[in-house]
Amino acid sequence: MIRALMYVRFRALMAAMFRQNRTTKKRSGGMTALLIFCYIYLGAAVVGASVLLFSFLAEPYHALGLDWLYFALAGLMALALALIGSVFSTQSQLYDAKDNERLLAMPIPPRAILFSRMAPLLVMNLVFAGIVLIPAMAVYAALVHFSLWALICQILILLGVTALAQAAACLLGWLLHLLLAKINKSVASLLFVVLFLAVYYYAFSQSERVLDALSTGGEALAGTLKTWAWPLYAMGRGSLGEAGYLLGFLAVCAALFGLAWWFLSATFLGTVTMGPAVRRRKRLELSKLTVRAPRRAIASKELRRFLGTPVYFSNMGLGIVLMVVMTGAAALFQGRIWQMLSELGELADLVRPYFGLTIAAVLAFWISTMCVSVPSVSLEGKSLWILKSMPVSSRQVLLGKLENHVLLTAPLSAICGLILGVVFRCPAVDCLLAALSAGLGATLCGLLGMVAGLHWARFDYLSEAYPCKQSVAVLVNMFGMMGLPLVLGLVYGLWLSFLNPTVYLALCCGVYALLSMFFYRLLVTWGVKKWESL
Amino acid sequence: MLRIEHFTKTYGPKTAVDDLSLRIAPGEIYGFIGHNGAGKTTTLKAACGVLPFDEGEIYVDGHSIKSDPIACKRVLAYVPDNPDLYEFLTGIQYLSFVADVYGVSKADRQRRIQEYGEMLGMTDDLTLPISDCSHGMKQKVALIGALIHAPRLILMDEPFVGLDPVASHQLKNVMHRHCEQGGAIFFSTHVLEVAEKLCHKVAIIKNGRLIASGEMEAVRGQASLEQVFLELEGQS
Repeated sequence: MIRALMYVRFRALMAAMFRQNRTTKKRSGGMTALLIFCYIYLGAAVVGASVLLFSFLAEPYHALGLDWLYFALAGLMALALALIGSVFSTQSQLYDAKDNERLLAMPIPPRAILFSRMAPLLVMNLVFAGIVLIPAMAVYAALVHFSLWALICQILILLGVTALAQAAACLLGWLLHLLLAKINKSVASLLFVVLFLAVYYYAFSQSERVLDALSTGGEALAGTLKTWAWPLYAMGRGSLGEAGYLLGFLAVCAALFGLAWWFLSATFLGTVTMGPAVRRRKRLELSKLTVRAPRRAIASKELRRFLGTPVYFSNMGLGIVLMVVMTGAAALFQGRIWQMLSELGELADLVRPYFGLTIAAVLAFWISTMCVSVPSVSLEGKSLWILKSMPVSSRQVLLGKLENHVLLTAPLSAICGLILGVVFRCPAVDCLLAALSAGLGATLCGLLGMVAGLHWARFDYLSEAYPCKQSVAVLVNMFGMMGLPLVLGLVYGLWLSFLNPTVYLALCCGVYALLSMFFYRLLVTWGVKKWESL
Repeated sequence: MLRIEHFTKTYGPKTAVDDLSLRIAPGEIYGFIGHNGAGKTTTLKAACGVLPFDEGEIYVDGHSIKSDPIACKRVLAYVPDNPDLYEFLTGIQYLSFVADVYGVSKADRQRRIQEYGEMLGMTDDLTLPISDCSHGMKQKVALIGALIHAPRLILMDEPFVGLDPVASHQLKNVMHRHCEQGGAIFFSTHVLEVAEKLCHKVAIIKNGRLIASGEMEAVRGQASLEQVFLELEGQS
């Protein structure tokens, strides 16, 4: 039975990766290669960052005799990454899967369904933990030393961390699901993400201070950790090959995983079949109905979908929230920013003409995380018949969807560009160009998202998480919008650095405008035909 | 009102509907019956412009669904067998959205929502999110959505599935009234008793081919519709 469930689960995953949709043929070799490239790129970026970080830490920690702390920190980072990367997937894969009720109606124990859902998540956590712990091991081996026994211990620690991360993700996913059932799903989801990231970034921002304190009092720290965070201490010691600590750590991991497994098995049926929160009916006030033009109505419907679909809102809305928060923080703490810049002395004067370009580049990266338009086609799902049976042209439908993206992101990006330009005391032209490039970038992101979303449209997904975070279209949209400022930056650095930065920023705006026109044309010609064929 | 001429639809090597021709005049309730997978849903979806097709033509109120789909869709309404609506909207938001797209005036939409909402016992539930509605409630919202722009032709796929007895009764009343006002209805059903009592005309489809059609009395003769259907299906 478990084998059959696992087979179905992995078939669904493979189909998601290697098939366009249920009716068409296998994804082409080129597309599969692109998809693999995108995942490798993402993995390589994290591995690269890990290698860099650990190469700074390995030798000093070894010199201080704090090797165990080096591995404890690596394990902690791996745990945090796996948790951040999997908690939302865990919630949606365990509790929001569309086939839960169908499977529960069959003579299958809930724990078997749970196991089949958790197995792919465990693999995902293993990858997340691996891209931190393996570089930590490699760096330590290269810069310090490494025995075969230590390597075996490290591999076991990696498995333990994976199980621990999965246990924590399961419990947090369960909590998140309960929270989503009680209050507005999107707001709850976003609050959860923001809270999670705030805690993570706070811990990260304090890490340097903490590490300094640790390095001066290693013995005291060891004592404290041994008392208050024994698993962490055991993880560090176990990584160095101390068998007792290794076994202790693995026992803790196994116990916590078992506990989480038992708890979720016991509550799975009740949680999955939990009805919606009982809502009080409001009085129907027909006089308050508003009348809109068809395209506006479609854009408005898309906005409600964005705000009312947790996985959509928390993935694509986070960039919008971060952009506002970071711009607000820059405006609020501009005194401190200028104080830091003045400490740079002559260097600050040297980089000052490039502030406009830098602001545009930073905004472009934020914009690349706001892929609001890309899942909008696939999210039509089984309700696609509604738009298809209505007297509205395909062009209007697509432009309505685009309008939602543009109205949500372009004015906001432009305003943020303007505020950041003023905060960094850029000349008026640079401020305006930064705002223009941000507005155009957001528009281009929407257009590219629509085209990619149409090209890789799928309606046979089991969870809305697929079109919102796992599809090729999202990767293409995100990396495309990330790659463009990188390419423009490289072109400037390598060949056009003789140009005044303001002139180059204007040229970048031109590039954005031209690309936007190209994708707009593509959307209203090829895109319309593609929509009609769906 | 609806003219289907030599309609053929294939899915890869499989022919779902083969050379089907039908005419539905204003004032008619036309039942469409057949076994599972016979091609009923495919025909209905093609007639409302949801599904592109290979051969033949479909005309709605004189307009071709192929060359002028917008004109066709303005005068028709479609209710699918499974009411997959926008779960993130409330019932009233969904109806308002449909009214916006069809360009229904504020006064008309208020009047019709009130009228059909009360008739189907849904007025109080229209403020609920669709995700919180039962299958039957969703079906009712889909029905009000179909009627909100006063269509001349209504295409319905299994419209009685999921409706409570009162709502089924009200729906039959709505169907009669719609036809008395010069509209036409083309709907599929497996409930042969309902088709027999409700329809002026009936069409029976088997493996994608039309095997009988015409006035209800002419098709069933002295037998019941169930007997005729089973005979044609080779089951009796």
